Amino acid sequence: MSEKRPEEAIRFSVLNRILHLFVMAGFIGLAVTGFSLAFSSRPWAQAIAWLAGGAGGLRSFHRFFAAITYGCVILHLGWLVYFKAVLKGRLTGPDSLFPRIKDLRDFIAHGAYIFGKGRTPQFDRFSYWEKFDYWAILIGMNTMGLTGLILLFPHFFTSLFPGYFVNLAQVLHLYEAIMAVALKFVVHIVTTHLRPEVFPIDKSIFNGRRKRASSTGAVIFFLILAGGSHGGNSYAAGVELMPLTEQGRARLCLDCHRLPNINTNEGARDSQVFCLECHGKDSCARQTGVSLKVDMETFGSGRHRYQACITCHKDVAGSPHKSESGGVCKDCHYLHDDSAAGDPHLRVQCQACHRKSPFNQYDAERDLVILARKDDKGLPLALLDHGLSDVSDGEICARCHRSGNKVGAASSVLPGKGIFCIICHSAPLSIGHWSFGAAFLIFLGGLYGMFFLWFRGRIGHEETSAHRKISLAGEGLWQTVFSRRLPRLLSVFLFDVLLQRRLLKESVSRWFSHSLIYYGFLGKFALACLSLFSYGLLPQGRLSLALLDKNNWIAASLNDLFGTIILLGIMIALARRMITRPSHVLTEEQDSLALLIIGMVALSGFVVEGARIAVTGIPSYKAFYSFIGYPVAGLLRLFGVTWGDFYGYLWWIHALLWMSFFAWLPFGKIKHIIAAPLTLLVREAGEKQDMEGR
Amino acid sequence: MLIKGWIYKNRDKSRAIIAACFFVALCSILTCFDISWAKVSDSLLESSWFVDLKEFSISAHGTLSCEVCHGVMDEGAGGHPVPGKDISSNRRPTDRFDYFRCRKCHRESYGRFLKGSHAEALKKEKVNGDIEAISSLPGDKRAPTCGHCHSSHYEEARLGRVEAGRRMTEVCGACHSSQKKTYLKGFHGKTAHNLGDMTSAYCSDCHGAHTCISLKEKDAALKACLRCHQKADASFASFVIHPASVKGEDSNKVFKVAVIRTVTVVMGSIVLLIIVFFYGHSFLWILRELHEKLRRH
Repeated sequence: MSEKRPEEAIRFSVLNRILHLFVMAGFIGLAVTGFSLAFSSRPWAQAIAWLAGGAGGLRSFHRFFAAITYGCVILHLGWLVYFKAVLKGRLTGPDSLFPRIKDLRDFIAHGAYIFGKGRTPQFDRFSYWEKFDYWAILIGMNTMGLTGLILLFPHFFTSLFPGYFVNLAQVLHLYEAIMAVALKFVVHIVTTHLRPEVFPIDKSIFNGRRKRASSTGAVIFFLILAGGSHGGNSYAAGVELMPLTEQGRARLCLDCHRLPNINTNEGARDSQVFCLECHGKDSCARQTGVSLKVDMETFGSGRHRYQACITCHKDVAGSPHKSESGGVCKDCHYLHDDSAAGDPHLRVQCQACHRKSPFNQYDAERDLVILARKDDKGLPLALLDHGLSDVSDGEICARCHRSGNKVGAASSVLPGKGIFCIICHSAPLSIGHWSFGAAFLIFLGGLYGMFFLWFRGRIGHEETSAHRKISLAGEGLWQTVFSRRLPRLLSVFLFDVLLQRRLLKESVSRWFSHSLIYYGFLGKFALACLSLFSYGLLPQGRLSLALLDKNNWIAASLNDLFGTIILLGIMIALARRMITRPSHVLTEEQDSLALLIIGMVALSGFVVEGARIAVTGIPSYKAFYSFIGYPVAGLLRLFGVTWGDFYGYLWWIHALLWMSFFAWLPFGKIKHIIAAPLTLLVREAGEKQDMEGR
Repeated sequence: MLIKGWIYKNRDKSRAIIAACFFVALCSILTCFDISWAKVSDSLLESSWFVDLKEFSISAHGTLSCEVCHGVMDEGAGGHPVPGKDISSNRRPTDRFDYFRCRKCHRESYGRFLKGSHAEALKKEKVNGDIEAISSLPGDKRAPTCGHCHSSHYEEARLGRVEAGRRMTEVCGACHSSQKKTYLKGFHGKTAHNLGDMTSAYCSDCHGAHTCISLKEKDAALKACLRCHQKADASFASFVIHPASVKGEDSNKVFKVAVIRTVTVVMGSIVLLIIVFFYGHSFLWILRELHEKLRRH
């Protein structure tokens, strides 16, 4: 029955077109109002609810749209009955939407086409995905309608079923709505309109004609608003500390219990006077005999002498007289970036390094390394001197970083990350260890060699003078950037560099394996840049904290995801080289070596991550977001070795592998990472220049 | 017509615009998670020994003097605790304070509280054992008195129904966290708490203000439903408002919750599978068509 129809054949009748329009409007309305109810805690939902006139308005609109949509379904079903009974039409067969065996065959043949085997099959009047679209919505609308009716008339339906069926109806209604929106708004739109074959729009459902006609463009609705909150910072000014005196007269309640304004000198002094009434006396001690007298000599000459006690000890002035948070530093002081103290130190209390006491302990309940209350021999410590240690002395690190420590630190002190690492990890803007610097020098040398070779060629009419060549190239660059060619260049950058159009033209599977590696690195790089940017913008921000902390669920899962993608790409690429070997794949030693090194870097990265999780003993409720690193940690634990002693070596293996890759980059074939985009752009600019020259 | 012509002439660009729209949408979705640039805000001051007069003076009790509630504080027994010596300063003010004093003004609320299940729990606690041990429970989960739910110094006066209801969700939810979670997932929570619908139900609309009774009994539950749903019957009242299994529930509810959970998980995984399949299908299809198209040019 797949005869050739005239190009202008009518594909959808007027009734169907009208029904589609109404169902479309109703469906969008249902989705907007329904999701605003379902996700009502979100600011965008509340904005829509406000527009609709509150929850009541939202409900009425939802029912109104439901009536429209369901009315269309009923009209359609009525038409089908009329068509069959009165017009004696056929509801089955190749001209109908009724599923047939051929659809299954089409699906398999089309799948083969997608994987590059064979051609698109000749579909019936409606292809299998169109039939899926139709039946999904026909069945979906009826189940949505039924569950919706249960929710609309619970009194009636609970007389038929037990009450908890209403709960079930709620669950089904929500999940089916999510599925319907996820499929209709993305898959339906993409497959019918945005596919390269039909882009930008298939208008047949609007004008009924089979042939693709012109359009007014695709419209996409996004009504997502973001929310946020703001916090403030408090600072205290500094003048000389006032002498501490007691007042002679009988006190009123508020002489003591008024909240002092700790942002002023008066308030800071009042707070100190209040606390020192006990903590300034020798008699102030714990029941164990440990003194609680604040050492005014060190505190009075220390950096914090002009601060109120409650500026740092926020929650201590109350009954019961004890503190949950301890001294709070982060209200005034920023976090370190990755250079000084890497992300594992996010679970170390500031005081553990910055206070003079050398004893630290791990608090499993809060997953925090804190200043110990007892020394090595178990004698309680007072910790009341308020003196700060000199952290520029490397000895401080050995408090924890020694073999046999109990706080889950590696036994060796490792250097901070360098700017090298930013390709995958959040890193500071510094070179770091001298060996990183050496690799960087080799890299720069290679880069210089590359450009040197390029500039040996002729530029314009200049052949010898390097100075003239550079000036000519600069002129060309300037002319290109400030001309109408810029959009063209940007599109080359977008499609050929970012989206790898040339590779896709060559082969889908090559594009796929290359893209996995490329986008894996790009994703990690983007994440690292975002964290650098975010730290520079607002070091205490929620986003900075989330990105700097490797155990944060967002950072952990995204990093592991990108790492997995890279490793998967490497494996597919190696398999293509070693096993399947399509005719156009030319295996060179260099390619395999490059793939091997990147693969080793990714693999060792996961091992180091696993070792980190095993060493630091991150509780499993946090660690399982590192969905690769956590199982690796479990594997490593099986060896029964103290991984803290080996962590340093693993870390260096990972770092050295990456450094050797980086140093080698401008010499081997992998210089295409730099060379290919430049060549593409220069060629594009050059072509146009020639055309204009003529 | 202009747009139409432009799109057909510049397919690459219009595709780029659509890609950009998707990108923006993706970013917006990301920001819908609770990540933002904003600083993690610490509560400014939790110290209860100091009264913030700025907040106190605009609160409901702002016109009262200290002595009205606290009496005269002579140092020594029963009066002001002796700093450093008096062990009583190791107890929370909510345990120390004699809330019978509230009854002076709040007679009706106090009477209702005495009839409710919080007062009953308090009685049991007093019979069963020492308060010191219980007060060290995590999350402060012991029978509450006035001060556990109401702030004596900073409670605002004349809150509207919606605002009071929203705060109620937070206050009750501090101890009854699973109930708060299920309430906010349910229809009542979404409309009343999130969207501020005055006709929907807050905690006290079902459980009673200050009485705070449990609605495990079927009759009590039906009575609570009937306050708003006039046609409700026993079957209607068997709707599970808080579908989370808590220790000590009867087997009937445990069964219902299990059914609801199973349906949720099964439905969720079906939906996820379908979405993943069709997204992957569309993605690969587009790749293939792009490849063919690039070949042709």
